[in-house]
Amino acid sequence: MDLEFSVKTMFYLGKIPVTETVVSTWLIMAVLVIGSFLVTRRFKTAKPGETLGTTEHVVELLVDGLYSFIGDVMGPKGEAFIPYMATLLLFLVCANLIGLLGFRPPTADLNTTLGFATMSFILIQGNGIRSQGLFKFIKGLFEPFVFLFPLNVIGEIATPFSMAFRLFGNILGGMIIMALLYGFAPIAIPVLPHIYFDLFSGIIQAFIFTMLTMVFVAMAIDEDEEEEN
Amino acid sequence: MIELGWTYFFQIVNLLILYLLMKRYLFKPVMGFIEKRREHTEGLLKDADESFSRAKALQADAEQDLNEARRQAQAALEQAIEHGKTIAKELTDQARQEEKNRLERAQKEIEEAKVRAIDEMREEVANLSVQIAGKIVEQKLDEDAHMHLIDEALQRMDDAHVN
Repeated sequence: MDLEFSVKTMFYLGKIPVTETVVSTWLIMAVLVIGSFLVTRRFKTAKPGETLGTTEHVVELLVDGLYSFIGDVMGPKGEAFIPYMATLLLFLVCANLIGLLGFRPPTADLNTTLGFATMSFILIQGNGIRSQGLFKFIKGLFEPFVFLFPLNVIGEIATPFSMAFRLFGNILGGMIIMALLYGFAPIAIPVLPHIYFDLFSGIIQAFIFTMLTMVFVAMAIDEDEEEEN
Repeated sequence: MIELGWTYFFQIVNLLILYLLMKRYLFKPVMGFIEKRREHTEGLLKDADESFSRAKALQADAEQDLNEARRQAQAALEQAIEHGKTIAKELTDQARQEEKNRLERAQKEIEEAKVRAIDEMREEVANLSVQIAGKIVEQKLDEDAHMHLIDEALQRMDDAHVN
């Protein structure tokens, strides 16, 4: 059995390699953006009292649900982050489920998960600094004792890595197990594992990644409020 | 299997682009519409509230008008009854007066008839007396002197009768 799990390079843009991950990411982006554009065309022209179609209702339910869910988690101060978090969740769900269509999930590549985790890290630390001020933020790293500073820094830096590797490991692991399974039982048997590794695990991991980002950012923006009280 | 490279930057940029596009093409229009509908619904509710309170005010006005009308009708009815009573009284009085007048007229006529009858009778008696007297004395008297005598006699009779 010869299985290859490394990411293939599809083509080169000048000297820059464009991998399978990037191509499937573009595919998901295209589907999401074009789908959104097509579905929301009627939202822009519709009168407030007008009854919309079924598709519009489903999309409205989805967007409204995402807004209220993320709004509940992040609180009133986190409203500005809702579109980002919702985008992240939608993309991760699609990325984790695209394996069902035979594509390589973009999240089965550490570049993707670490890139997203980097974004989360920037959001968490950036908002921490913005809400507390740089001095307080740095002072916070020396608490409760001065000599805990290295540990605090490691703790902060560990967050994105733990998020990135959790997502990456889960999706890649599932992918490998499914590939092995297809190697010796290609018919009927993989159905149930697909439900677990792709549907269940994929949605759960997308949810966990987004949830952690939301909770950490919410903690960062709530910090000053606690001090004020 | 694990190697970091250009893909890392690609994916960060991809996520940012997707974020901007989704915000523009999915979240903004849908949330905008939801907001628009919420405002529309609130407007409708406000309108309904206003209509309701206006309807209540109108109802109160109408009830007041109705009571006023009822009161006026009652007053008019009472006035009409009063008026009717007055008219009935007038008619009764008038009828009574007419009755009285007629009675008086009738009595007067009777009185006149009586007087006339007495006069006629007197004349008759006089004539009869002249004839009877003429026959009794069988003597032709001057009629004028006779009449004079009889009148005198009657006058005396009357005076005596009156006295």
